[in-house]
Amino acid sequence: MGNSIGAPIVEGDEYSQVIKYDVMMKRAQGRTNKHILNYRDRLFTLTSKALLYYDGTTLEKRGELKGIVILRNIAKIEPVKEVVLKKQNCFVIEHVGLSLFIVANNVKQRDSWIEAISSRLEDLYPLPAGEIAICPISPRKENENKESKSSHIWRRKYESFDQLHPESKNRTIFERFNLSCSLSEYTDNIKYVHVGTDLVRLELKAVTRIFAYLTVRDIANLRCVCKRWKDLTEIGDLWSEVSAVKTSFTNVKNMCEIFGSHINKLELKSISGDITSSVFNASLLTHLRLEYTQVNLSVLPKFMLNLTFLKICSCVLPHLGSLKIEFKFEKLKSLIFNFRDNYEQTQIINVLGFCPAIEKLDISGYAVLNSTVFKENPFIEELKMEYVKFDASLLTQYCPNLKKLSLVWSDFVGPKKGTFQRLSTLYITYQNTCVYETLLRMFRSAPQLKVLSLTGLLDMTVSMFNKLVPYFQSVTTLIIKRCTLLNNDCMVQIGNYCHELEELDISDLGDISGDGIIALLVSTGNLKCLDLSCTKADDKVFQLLVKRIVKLEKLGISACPFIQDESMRILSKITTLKHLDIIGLIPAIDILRKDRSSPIVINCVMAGSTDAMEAEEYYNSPSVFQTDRRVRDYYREDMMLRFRIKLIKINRLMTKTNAYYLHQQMKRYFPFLTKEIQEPHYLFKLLIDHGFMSSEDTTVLTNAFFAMKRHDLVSILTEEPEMSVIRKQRSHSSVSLREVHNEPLRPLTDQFIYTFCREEIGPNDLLGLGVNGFRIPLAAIQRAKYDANNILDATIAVFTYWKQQAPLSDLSDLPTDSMPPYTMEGLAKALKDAQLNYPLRKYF
Amino acid sequence: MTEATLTSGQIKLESSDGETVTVPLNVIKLSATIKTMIEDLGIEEDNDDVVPLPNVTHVILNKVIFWCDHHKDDIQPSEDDDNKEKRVDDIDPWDKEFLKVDQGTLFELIQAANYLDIKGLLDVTCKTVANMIRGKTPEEIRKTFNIKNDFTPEEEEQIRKENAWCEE
Repeated sequence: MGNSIGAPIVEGDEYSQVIKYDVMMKRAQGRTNKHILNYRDRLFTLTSKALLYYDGTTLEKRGELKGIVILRNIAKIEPVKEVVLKKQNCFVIEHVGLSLFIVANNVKQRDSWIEAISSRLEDLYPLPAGEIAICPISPRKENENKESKSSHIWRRKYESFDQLHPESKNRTIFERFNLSCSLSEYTDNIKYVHVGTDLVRLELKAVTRIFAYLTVRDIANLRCVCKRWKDLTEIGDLWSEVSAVKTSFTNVKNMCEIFGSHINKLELKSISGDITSSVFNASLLTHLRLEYTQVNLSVLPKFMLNLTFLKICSCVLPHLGSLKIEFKFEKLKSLIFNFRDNYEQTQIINVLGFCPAIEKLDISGYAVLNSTVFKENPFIEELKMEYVKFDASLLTQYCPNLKKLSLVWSDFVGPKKGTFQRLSTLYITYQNTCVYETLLRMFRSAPQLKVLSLTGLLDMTVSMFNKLVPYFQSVTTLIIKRCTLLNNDCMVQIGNYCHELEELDISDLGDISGDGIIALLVSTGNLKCLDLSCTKADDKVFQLLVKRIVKLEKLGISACPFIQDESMRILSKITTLKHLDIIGLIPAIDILRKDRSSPIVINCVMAGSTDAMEAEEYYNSPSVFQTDRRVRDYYREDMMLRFRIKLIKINRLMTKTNAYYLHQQMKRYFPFLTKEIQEPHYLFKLLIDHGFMSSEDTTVLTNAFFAMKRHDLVSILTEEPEMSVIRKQRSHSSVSLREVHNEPLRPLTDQFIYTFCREEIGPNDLLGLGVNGFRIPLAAIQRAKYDANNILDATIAVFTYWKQQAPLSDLSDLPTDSMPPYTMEGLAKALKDAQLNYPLRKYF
Repeated sequence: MTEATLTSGQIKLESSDGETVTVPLNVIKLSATIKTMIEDLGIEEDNDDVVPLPNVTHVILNKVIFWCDHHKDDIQPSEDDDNKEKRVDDIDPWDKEFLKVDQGTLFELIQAANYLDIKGLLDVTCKTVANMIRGKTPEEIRKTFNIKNDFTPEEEEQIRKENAWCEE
């Protein structure tokens, strides 16, 4: 298995010139107790960079390469005492969190290998003086290696170091990231000098976990800190997923030259230049995401042979009619194709023709398609379409294997004849119009339906729904939230036909009352999850829940207007409940907290059904907010939490939703701020003043804005646009602020500008903002994406503005380190053009 | 080991500096290491066996137990949580307060969480450290963790060049 996934491809002298080789026995790596441990003979070869092992017995006739250990990843190599593996002459190599046990034929061979590898390591990475530690097998390691369920491991007192490891006393054992913290026990025997920091000494597993929370840029910064961290950051696993955003194609190429061979998943977003012209070393690449990037499809396969996942989203593609790909993506299983041009059906067919093995397909964009588009793709199991006008008349014929179908914001025509034998999941959500015939055809063709979501079908009428329900008899999960026209009659109908239901979401159906829900619950005794948020559920319903729904695990009652203290007491009798969703019911939470010592564990998770917020008017009246301080504090805590949750959601949803929506949401979140909310930018200051956010949170909020397209941001700052306009613009290119400088922007707070600039500004934006009369913080100039020509223009604009509005005394507060690459002449010219007389001497 | 023992039993742990602590199993069950051990080795309720934890001092052990006690009723994160988006700004306020400790203690907590395999604690401590690193320049990172720069100016320049791809 070694270091890499799949068959590693290793080229170059560093891997082919063998320093030492032998046939030894290798123990299977990375197995748990459950697996049978096996030992196999392998031909081990040591090269200057790596330890490789093959099938076969001689160097000349070696077979398939079975694995590779990159020497730089080795954390430790040492002999293993006989008792551990019950085998003699064994040694272990620890690398990237794995332990490779090798059984040599005799002591001499074992020692010679340890010697050879250690000396290679010491050549490659000399240890800092005083840090060479001789390390006994730590109790933990010993435990990991246990092969039977024997208990002696934990109970035995440890023998002294000499007894454990007599033969290794004088050996220098290589250990780069002190993997054992039990050393203090043996301080008498070991001269261990601690150099560096505690952080550096952390276990590899913990370090990689920390790194997982960092951006690639942070990790790049860590590389500059010290040698050990540089080594740590070069462990392959860290680079298995890389995301490069807003950078140039040359930079991507450079990055791939260093880490390319480790990369499994690559995301390239907003890359300038045609990335596909770089043929880089990424042989392990299986996942590729391309967004806002130039793509020349004809060159793709050269480094994308092994792709199983491809996402092309809002990229500049050459006209698809002229597409020439040399061969097909034979392994590609999953394709997400989100286009922004209006494509003809024939062009889409052309693209799909190159992906014969495709199983999951997500098409999103403005196109008019019919079922024949999938004629080359019979293996499709999951199909998602958004914004597509789709004629599904013959879909049963072309996609017989369909298991999951999702149609969002689309107009579609249902299948004419035939059935999907395997279709179990169907999402028909947020349709522009709701046509009975179409829905009827769809449900008729899907006799095996298990999961059905009809979320947000705003014009689904009661009679329409009641006629369709008989087709839902096999459904176990039914989601009909936000079908706002539905009433109690529909609930009775569901109760009549759907006896298999395990999950039901009827949230946001404001007309549903207790009676309706009771009629429904009488015949749905198998329910495990039930969301009643924003319905008029009352205590009678809850009593029935206690009595009849014996398997209920998850319940949502957020913002239900008829909930009282008594309701919470009734609910606390549901012993099976694991998750209770009660957003917007602060006093209720209070009661629950008091009751927490009761034997029933109720997790009052406040996250979850955020859509419930929209019916929250009941609870955001000022009277709640101004009651006693404790309640208010809870409310505030809850507010912040929900706001964060919403932002996370918005971040994710922003491709589908829009600025207008966010603005509307904000109004709902902070209803008591009615006036100020009209000025979104003013909101930040207000939120901070009210203690809802810290300045740290501003970043969170601003990030939400960035998740939008920039023109959406501009829209928010200028006016409330019509929803339809934005939806149309959604997938079009981002415009820089410069292009919209004619539109009247509202004044922004410094805080917003600062955060905005800190994150994302480029020279064009500087210029745009400058032209629009914003005071640009100096830090923003410092952080602006370097582009020497443009930034000079931008700076001139900024300086000009400063001159008029807020004259500086001199340039002394200009940042002195890592400034944009101004030349003396450049800056002088900028100042001259802006007619400013700041002395430059201080700066250079 | 029966389900009942897991909810009501106790276990004795011995820290590296020789102190013995008795912990309810429903608290220490958050440690996958100890949970597996109990299940595998079948420790009985009245057993006087003491589990030695040679990697954890009693100060840290007490802190770990304190943390586990507070979180014992939490919903356990499922396996696929690892695939979720990595967020660092969602640290629970109680945890934030709990982790207001010096760096040494923080790192020892990470070691202990790692050794005892307490996923929640490991997550939150690692997040805390990640927060200490995020957005900082190399020089600031060195200052934060008191690390000596052991690169020669040439080496440093070389790495800067290599890093150019992620500079915006």
